[in-house]
Amino acid sequence: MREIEPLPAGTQPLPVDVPTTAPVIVAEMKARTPREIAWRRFKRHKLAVAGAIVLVLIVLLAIFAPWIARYNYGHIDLANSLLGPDGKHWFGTDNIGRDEFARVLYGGRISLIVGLSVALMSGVIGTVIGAVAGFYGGWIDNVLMRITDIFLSIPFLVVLILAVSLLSGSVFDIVLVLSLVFWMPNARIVRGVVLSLKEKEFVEAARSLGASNRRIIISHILPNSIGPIIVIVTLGVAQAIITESALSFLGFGVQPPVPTWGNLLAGARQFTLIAPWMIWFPGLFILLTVLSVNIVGDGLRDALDPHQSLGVRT
Amino acid sequence: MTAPLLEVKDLSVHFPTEDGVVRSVDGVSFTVERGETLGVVGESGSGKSVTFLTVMGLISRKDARISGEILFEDRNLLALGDDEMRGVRGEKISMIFQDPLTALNPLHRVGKQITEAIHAHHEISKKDAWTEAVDLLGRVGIPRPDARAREYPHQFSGGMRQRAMIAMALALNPSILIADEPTTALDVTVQAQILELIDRLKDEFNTAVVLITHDLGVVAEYADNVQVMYAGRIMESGSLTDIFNDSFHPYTWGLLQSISRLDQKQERLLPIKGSPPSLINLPPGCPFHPRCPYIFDPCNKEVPPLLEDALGHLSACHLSLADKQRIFSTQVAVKA
Amino acid sequence: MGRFIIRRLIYAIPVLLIVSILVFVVVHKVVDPTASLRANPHATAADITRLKHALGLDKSGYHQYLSWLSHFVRGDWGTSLIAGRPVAPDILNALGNSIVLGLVGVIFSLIIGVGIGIISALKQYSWFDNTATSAAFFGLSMPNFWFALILQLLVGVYLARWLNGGNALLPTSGATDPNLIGFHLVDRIRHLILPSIVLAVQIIAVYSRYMRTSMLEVMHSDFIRTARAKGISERRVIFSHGVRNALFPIVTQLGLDLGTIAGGLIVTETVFNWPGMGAFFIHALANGDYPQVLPWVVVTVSSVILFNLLVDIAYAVIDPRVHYA
Repeated sequence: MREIEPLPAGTQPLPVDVPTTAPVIVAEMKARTPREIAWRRFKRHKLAVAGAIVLVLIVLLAIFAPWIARYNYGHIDLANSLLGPDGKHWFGTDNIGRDEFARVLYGGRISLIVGLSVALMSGVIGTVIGAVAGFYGGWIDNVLMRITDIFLSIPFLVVLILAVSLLSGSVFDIVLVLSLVFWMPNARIVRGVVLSLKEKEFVEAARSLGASNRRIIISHILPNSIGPIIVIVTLGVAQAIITESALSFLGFGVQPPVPTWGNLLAGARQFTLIAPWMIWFPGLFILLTVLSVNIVGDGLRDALDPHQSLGVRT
Repeated sequence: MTAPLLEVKDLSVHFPTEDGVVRSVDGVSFTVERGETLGVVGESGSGKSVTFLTVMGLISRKDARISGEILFEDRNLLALGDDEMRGVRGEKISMIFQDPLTALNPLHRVGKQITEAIHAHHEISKKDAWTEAVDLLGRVGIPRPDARAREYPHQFSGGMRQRAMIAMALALNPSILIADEPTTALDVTVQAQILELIDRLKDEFNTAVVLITHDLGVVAEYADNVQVMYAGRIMESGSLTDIFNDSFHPYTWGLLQSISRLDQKQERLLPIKGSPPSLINLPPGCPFHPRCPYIFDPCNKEVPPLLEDALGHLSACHLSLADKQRIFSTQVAVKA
Repeated sequence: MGRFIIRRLIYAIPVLLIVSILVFVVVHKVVDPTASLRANPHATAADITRLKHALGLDKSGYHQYLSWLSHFVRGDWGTSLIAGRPVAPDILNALGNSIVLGLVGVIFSLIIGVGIGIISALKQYSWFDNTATSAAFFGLSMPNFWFALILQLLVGVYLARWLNGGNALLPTSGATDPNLIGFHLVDRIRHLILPSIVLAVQIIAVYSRYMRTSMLEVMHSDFIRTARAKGISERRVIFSHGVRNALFPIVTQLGLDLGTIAGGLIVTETVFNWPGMGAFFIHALANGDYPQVLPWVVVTVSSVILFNLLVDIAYAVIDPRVHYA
């Protein structure tokens, strides 16, 4: 299995197409026995594909929940409450007889939608702001850094909880609040990427040929940042899902009766001893979803951004 | 004739990679004699650095398939165990590298980096080692060495850093000093100083020097013998005059024609057409043939062996000696 | 350097002010201290007005904030609405508990995580590395609140049943046994174990990856090759040159992470009922106890700022290339 972070710089094979008077670059070579090479290639694809398959499965389960689940997620049946998993209720029932399987599936819908929406929204906002700040620098950059400094100095769960308290617990509000917090680390990362790209020679070359700022951004900076941005957004989905779940678990996220994996776990806490299945399944789904997103994101990073240092620190 | 200090026999270093086997060094044989300065010339990818990294034992067998022999002090270095090889490195044969800024540990004081080398090979007190380090820094031309030894690499200028590296390499009085592109990362004015320093120290420390470079100009001033490498093989080797005034290989001719010289009439500088070959898919026959203006029938079929055309002057080319001499005198060496 | 520190400390003040204002606004919008009184059917409008006056709620927001601020800087952090006690000692108590949990969790897992990272880097792609990488992926993807719940379940129910006839081997909640009076070290340690494990999993996952990447980058540097060329032992190369240089970026990240511990490990503390800063915050908010929230935020943000500063200072001390004007 490959590393999560990209390879350090300097592990490329010797440059071959070099004019005779070029200075020598003695680079390290990544060498493996042929068997190891083939094995790694195979594993690499196999893992990312496996992750993608699991993810697709979960998404399908969520999308087709109304057709797959036998019961409605809100259907109360006190006579059948707190039953363990059996033929009729694959994941058991909760304290008021609701079918856990249905609840987990429907909960998945919300959790996935929130995760995706937040990642996209914060990705777009963060990218735009981060790119502008990184490229133009100056006071825009300063303002951005100051604002993010302030917000990043408060533990982000706290920021989220306080922000959510101002609003209702609807799904839309949660997405909004999460996006308004998540754009900040995204902006800082994109800013870093743009800054490093700005320094590269091909930008200087373009500039010396008279290219306008707009042209440089569109033709040079953007194409080279797409890779890291896609990776950020993908990994952001995982972050968003976990954060939404944590928030809901603490009681500050999406409010019942709308199910999310997080608030299913919150409701299950009191019944841990007598109905542990209420805890296993929602959490398991969170784990599987986040794990597959991370694996796919890592595969994407390998494909799109293998030699750049995507440093998590700014 | 005295036995050579270092004798490399049929050395090959192949790196298996995802895209194929990279034949960095492909059947190379040469010697380093006592007290000589051997200039090793070649472009990036010619195998010149890898050859000497292998001599130093810095190429791991986990990464490369190494075959051949490296004979030094009656031992085959390739047959030595790790500990024994470590005894040789730094003390009997040492090496300095291209970029002294990245080649020195930024977090260790310069003096300490020298004493570390000393302590690795000799039982000696910290104080004595430090005194030696300071002394060495002085001998390589660093002013106020006692203060400088306590500083960090980033506080030195580029030239001074390279001097410190040289001090480190000579600390244990090695028999051979390998200098891999020692001046490439330095300013032009400093380059000359460093090369002169190496030349002077060579006598003081009684060390043979291997000067690896892509720059013929560097070689012209300081080398006794020259070896030209291309695509992992030696194309030509001989004395300095052999190479510059009497060369027998089209690649060398190409190199000579692409540099400016004061002693010859040149209408234009002629770069060598084409680019270096892939070390994974070497062309059949002579590796230089795709770029050679003088190819004929055997060039793309048989690999030309490295043969002695004149005393001590070897070249790997199918052209007859007569042809080589003719071409050289008519086309390459046009006296001003 | 001294001027640098002073500048940073001065700079921290507006940050703290802005944060406290923001939080003040939010908290006062969200929390209604008269809520319980209103719910009381016997309360009259006059009673409510009286309460409002007593709490100073009839004055303008601007006024209220300044009043709070002036009390705060003089050491009067207000009294809890629920408990009726002064807020300051409770917060400091909670802070202490969080620090204990944080430090214990961090120190052990850091050593393990860094160690794993080093070995993974040195034996890249070996079975050890592959296993460690998979484990790290798992650790990073694991929702910590779920893991905590599972641990509680496992230890408190299943293992207890199988091994101990119903009694849990390790306590699954709280920081101390309520039946014990005074300070009992063993008891405290036993209570620390499960929450520390939850913390450890996350820290080991993150830091083993960081160290691995950092170590890989360092080991491919030129100066490692120079070190080997000098003929020093491989062990020295790895530790004195490799690890030493690779630890640098780790130290920065560690400092930043430590700063957030004062914000409480909200999730872990909630699940395990650990009386730290995180639990304090949640309870305060849930109870509408706003006098507790503001000082809490100030303490938290201050510690983050303080740790950032400490990290920068540490950097200047250990990295000879860094020099602050």
